[in-house]
Amino acid sequence: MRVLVVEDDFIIAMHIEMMVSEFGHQVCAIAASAGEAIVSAAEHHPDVALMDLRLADGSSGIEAARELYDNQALRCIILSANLEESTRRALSPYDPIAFVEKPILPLNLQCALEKAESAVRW
Amino acid sequence: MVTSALQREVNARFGLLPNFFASAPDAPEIVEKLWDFAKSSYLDNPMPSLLKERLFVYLSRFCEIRYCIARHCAFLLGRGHASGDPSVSVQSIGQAIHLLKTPPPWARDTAMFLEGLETLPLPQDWPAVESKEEDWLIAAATLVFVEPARSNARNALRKALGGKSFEHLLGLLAFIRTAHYWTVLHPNFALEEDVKELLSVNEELARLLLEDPESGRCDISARLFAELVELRELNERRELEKAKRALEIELQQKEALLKEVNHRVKNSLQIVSSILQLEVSYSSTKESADAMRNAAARVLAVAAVHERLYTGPQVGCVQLDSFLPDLTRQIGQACDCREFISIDIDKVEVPTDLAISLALVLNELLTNAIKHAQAPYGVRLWRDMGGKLTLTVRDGGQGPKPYEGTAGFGTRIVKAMAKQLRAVLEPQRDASGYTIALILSLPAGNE
Repeated sequence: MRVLVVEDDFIIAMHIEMMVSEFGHQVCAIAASAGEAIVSAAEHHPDVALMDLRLADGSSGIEAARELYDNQALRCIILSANLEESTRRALSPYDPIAFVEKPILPLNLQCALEKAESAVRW
Repeated sequence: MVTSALQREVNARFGLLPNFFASAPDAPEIVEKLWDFAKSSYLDNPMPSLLKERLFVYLSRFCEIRYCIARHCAFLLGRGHASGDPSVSVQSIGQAIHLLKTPPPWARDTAMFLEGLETLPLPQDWPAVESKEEDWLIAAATLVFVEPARSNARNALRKALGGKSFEHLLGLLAFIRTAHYWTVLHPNFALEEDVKELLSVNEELARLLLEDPESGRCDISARLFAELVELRELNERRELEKAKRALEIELQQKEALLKEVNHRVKNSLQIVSSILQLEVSYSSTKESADAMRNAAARVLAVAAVHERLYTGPQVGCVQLDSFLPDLTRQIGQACDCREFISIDIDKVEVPTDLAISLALVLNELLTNAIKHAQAPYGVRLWRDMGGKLTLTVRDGGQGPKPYEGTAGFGTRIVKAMAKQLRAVLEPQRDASGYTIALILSLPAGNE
């Protein structure tokens, strides 16, 4: 799978990229803000986006998820340190594939990516 | 006893000296003005004398001090001059009783007499004594007198009487109210001798005059007090609501702050964890990679607790069954364990720091089991009836050989955690494998 990583913290993004590779997928781009995510997705046509919710320039992962879903039919795996009920509800219209809490347990990310893979294939 | 010029004048007008105008001997100038008020609004008021006196009697029902009602009833019955008018026709005790027994307007069909008043043909002269119209007028005047805020009775009276007569009526009401209040302020007025004599003549009249259940209806101080209490309660309610709102806002701010701190802690832990795991892949030697991997695994064990933190219903506590299974599988994956690990975790909620210690112990024990012993692996956690919590890690091996070199960092962590938790470590060997159990008493109050 081609994976777009949307994460504004460089170290975490690197780590996610490493894990994604270990799990047998390819990171096609890393974006730090909602705007970058939309541009990168249009350019690279990823299969799935790994989406942090607090992004650079104060932009929101929820907004980015909406744009990607509405305009590029791209679904997200949501990564966040604050996955409370209201957040999940706000995201539900954009049909996220999975939610992964931070700090990320690699196994959880692996499961989410497997879920994404079957969703993409289907 | 008539002594002053004022008292002589009063005596001449009423044919006797009511104690009312002999009151406040220390400040006769006040009583002089009261007398002026009495003359302008009561005695010299152009309303018919008998109507004025009948109103005075009836409205005095609504005063706790019985002086006025008794005094004016006596006037009505010819003891002294009613409304200071010697020409007024005297009423009988039966007429007085009939008047006093007229039910108050709030016990009657208010709309009936108000509409009756409004439909009277204009110009309306003052109604005849004991006519239907007089009854309506007294009833409406009573409403205005007792509940001045009710505008419908006022409007009906104004319409029926015309502006000028209406103001005359209000002037009389104002004086009667003042007279009542004066007696409330001087509650020890003695009844005059003629009044006492009258009360002894007719028992029914005496009862009507002295034991009127409506007497408290117009107690000004009680009404004012009730209004004040109501106002204060309203204020207190407002204050309370204000305080409640402030508290809610404060609570929201605290929750937002907690969320923010929680977010930052989790994010920082993510960064630490990421750095360590990245270090593993950048390590040049196997030794340093292993060291980094161990460190990363330990941080991940702590992180696993934080991943579940604050998402539960109770801040500061963690549900062990919500993260220990994930952590167990995570440890298996990190150790490249291909074997099945059986997991059986009771639903137990513990304070965060205890959860972190347990996570660290589990990481060491399970990592050790996977590295040094063969399957089957198993992790169990349960709480027994006595409140003791037991965590066991089991493998298919025979356990460490005694005195196998110096204790590693992992062993030291387990021992330190056991000590910190006042727990005991119990190794157990049997034919099918080796189990190590960490047994501790749950902190008091932890159910």
